[in-house]
Amino acid sequence: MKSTGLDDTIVALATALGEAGIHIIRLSGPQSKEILDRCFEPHNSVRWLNNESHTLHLGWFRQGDQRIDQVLVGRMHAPHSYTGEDVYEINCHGGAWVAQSIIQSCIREGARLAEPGEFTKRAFLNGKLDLVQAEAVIDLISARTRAAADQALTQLSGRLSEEILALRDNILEILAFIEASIDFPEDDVESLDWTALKGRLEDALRLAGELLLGSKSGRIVREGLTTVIVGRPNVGKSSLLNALLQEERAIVTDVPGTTRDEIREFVSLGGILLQLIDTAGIRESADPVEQMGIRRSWEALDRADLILLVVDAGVPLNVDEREVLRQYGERVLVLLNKIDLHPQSAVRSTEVPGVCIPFSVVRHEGFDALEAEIRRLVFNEHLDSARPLLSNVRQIAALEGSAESLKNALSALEAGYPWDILSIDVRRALQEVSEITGHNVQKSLLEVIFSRFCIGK
Amino acid sequence: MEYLAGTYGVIVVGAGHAGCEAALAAARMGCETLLLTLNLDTVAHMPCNPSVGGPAKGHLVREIDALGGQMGITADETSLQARMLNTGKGPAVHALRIQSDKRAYHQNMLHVLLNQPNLTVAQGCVESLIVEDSRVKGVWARGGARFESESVVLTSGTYLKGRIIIGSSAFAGGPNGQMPVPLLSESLRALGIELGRFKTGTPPRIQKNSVDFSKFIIQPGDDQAWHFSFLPTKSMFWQDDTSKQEPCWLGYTTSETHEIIRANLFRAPLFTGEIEGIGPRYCPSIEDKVVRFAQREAHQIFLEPEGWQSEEYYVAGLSTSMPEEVQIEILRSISGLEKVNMLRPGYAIEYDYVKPHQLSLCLEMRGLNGLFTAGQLNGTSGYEEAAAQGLIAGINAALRVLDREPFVLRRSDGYLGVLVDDLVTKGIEEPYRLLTSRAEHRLLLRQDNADLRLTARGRAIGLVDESRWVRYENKTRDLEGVRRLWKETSLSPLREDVQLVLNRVASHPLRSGIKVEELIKRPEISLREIETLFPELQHLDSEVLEEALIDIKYEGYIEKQKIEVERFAKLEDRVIPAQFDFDRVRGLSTEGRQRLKEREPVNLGQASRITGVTPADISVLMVYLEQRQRGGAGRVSG
Repeated sequence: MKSTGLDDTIVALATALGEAGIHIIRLSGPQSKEILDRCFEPHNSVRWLNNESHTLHLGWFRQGDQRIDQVLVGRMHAPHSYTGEDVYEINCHGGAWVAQSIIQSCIREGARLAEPGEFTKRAFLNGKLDLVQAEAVIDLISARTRAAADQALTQLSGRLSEEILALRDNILEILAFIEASIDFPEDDVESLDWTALKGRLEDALRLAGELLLGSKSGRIVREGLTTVIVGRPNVGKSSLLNALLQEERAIVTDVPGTTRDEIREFVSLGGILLQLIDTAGIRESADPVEQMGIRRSWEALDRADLILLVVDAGVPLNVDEREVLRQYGERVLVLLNKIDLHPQSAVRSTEVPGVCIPFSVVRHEGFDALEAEIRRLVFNEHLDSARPLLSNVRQIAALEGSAESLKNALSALEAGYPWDILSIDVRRALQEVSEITGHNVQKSLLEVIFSRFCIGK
Repeated sequence: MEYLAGTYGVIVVGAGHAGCEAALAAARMGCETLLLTLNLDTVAHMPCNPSVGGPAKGHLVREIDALGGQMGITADETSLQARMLNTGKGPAVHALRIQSDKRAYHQNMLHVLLNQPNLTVAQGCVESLIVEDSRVKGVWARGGARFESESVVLTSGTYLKGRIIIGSSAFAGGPNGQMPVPLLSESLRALGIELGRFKTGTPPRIQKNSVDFSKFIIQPGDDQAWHFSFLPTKSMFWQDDTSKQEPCWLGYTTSETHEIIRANLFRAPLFTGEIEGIGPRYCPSIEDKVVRFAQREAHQIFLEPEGWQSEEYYVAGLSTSMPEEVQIEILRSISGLEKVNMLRPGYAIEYDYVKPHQLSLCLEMRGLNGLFTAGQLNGTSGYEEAAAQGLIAGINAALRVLDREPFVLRRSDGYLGVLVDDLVTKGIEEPYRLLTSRAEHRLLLRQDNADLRLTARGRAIGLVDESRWVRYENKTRDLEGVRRLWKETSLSPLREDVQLVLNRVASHPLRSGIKVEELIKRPEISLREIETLFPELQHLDSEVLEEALIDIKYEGYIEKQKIEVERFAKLEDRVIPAQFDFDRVRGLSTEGRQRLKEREPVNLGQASRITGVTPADISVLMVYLEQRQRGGAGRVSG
């Protein structure tokens, strides 16, 4: 059962998710000030501390030690706000995942993701909207709920939903072991000892951790889009890389500690962090050293979120280039380089399943189109990465909550707390992950207990 | 010939565990009460296992007692042995289980009933209800007797169209050789009440002197004398001398047992289609266990005495409806039972039950004022679940007569609240058994604090008498004192006795002064250590100390659950008016609307727990209710 308290502090994106340059995140409820005190670093802290209603504050939004984005925070005290509660509106730049990171930080600090139409519902319940608007509120709630239902588990890729279901099954089984031993102490049911329970909790936590590592917003913020530049020798890869690094609108980011052996550079293009990997090339070769490099190139392609295939506008596609297009499809952006030399491209657009961008590194042409294309791919979630990515904020929040509860269960176990106490955390973990999968916790628990254990003294 | 046989405030039909509590509660609250039973010799009979309590069930008994009910006292006084289960699994799930003497239990309860002021007990078979204008007015009994009343509590157990099945033989009958009640079902159906059909079963009973107990493992009672009741009680058999408790015995089925069962499955009513009712998953028959868990080489069985120095033993774990001769074969395949004499065969029983979603949270039939149903009739199983509902139904039947506000417990108040809400709000698909895992605030609903949660509530409705109340007040006062003492007292590292105690349980020695409270929070510190340090507390009831200790030790988790309860309460406080027309609310999901109409929840919390009702439905309802309250619903949605 889902519990949605009336006094919870809620958060959600107030603008439509997409290519907008600025996103507004709305935070409403009694805890909203507390939450921002922990995440927001105002440039003028004296003004912030004055705590005056209807003021705007510029500053950094932080996630732990890391500054995520420079934001503008609008403050409105209850009851003079849209919902009638304390409301903060955070204006951020950057991409959708910056907005998502901000929302997730708020959730981590105690907010809950708003239900569809919940701000408006609160506005109505707090007397901010008149009676005539009530029907509109109801319409809004039911319409948004229908839309949200479409984005349920079925929207996830097969592998991702499998992984989440596996996590849920894992936690469910742990809880079933605990509950069966508590509710049927004299039945001859298989039970877990301390070490086995610890092992199972750690397994579940690891699974949750892996899923979270693969969450799109988390990973893209942390690591950037893994972008591989690939192409024949002398087609202009290196010039492209250099151009990107020197591009005045591209910020070269200093990220230390890469351990792999490819050349990695970080640039932020149009608010999107790209982790650029330059490859040795993909051409077949007899030279063993070269072969090694080639193998690595293909491996890099397998892992890439985005592939920039640089081709010569004057030469038809060769076997290797066709192979890249065939294998990686929509993840590939084709850059038709040297378009200045060959205005009539030898590459037919019908040969390219994805997007083909006329480009000239030398003349500095096509960068706008490239930036726009990358943004389109990211925002519209067209990037079909090699790894399944969890991208829905609600799902990430639930998964984080689940992982948190598993951690609590582990520390309770280590501190020597008894099983009835552990069960509180484990049940919470199960509840959170069941929000994603849509299972009824109580019903599935009993099903597992009765099918797995021979109960009946 | 028809005649007026009497006029009462409350009539209770059936004197099983539900009926006894209902009748006693109504009478104790000052209502003229009539208790009608089919057979005075089977009042408070235990047709199945000779024990009371266990996880969740024991919690219920403590709560019944805390409210001023009878079950705990009678179980204590007729106790053969007592064990506290789950002691290693945490304070929330400690659960007392008492083996009781069946006959003594019956006699004890009958004695209490017959000596209860305001209560009349009589034998009689109720055949139909008297109803006028959707109000119950009394009952008709066989022979034309008309009993009139303002409230009727039906607690007719498994008797409605009861059908006993043993092998290929099936006949109309109640439990344990009793007569079934054939006509009442039709009377209920005629009133538009929806009935379902369930099945349950019981194992064979065997003769003590044909058992070789040396082949069984002894299961003695605990060294500590445990009691359900918060009042001082004692077993009539072993007083408080724990060494005198009657043991139970543990044994196992063999591969031969399983072969016999498999070879005879074609005759098992469970698999031949003879049994149509739905049975409980938590209480499967042995044939079911052997089929479903084919890989298991042995299943546990417990031999439990049916009474003090009884000649008859109950074979727990061997519930079956196989033919009698197969049952004998099964028994004799068990080590120690080679020569056993089966006294009574196990059997399955099918019966009609009232689908409980038709009830209100007071266990009153919605749309039929004054009719309450409780116990196995509502599709539950277990004596404790029955007694608990009987108490709630009896209280509310009396409150209706007294023209007072109904008595409803929330899920956060106790297992009583969880039980009733589960039945009414969620509905049931199999015989319902209460489990601790059904309670979302388990840590708050401990058996040790049942009185702190409920006794004042019982006092307010006139069910808790003076002696219980005085004990309760003393306990709360002592508890307060102990809490203050532990909160305020500091222990110095210079105290050698403290360091010694810490050393004994491998706890870090003190380096600086520490509040007792902080010390208690160390997981390795138990009540024993604290008692050693505070000899002056020894005169206090150990329950008080235990209680105070738990509150401190698990404070963090307890506080978290309390916050959750408060969040819960905000939805529970939003009332949905009576006769609310869900069809007028636009924007509800189709399934949600249908469920809401069917269950008629009384507040948003209850509505949110109904399967098929989504969070969005709750939001829509919330907005609609607010709109209505501001007086605009009619205008806008018209």
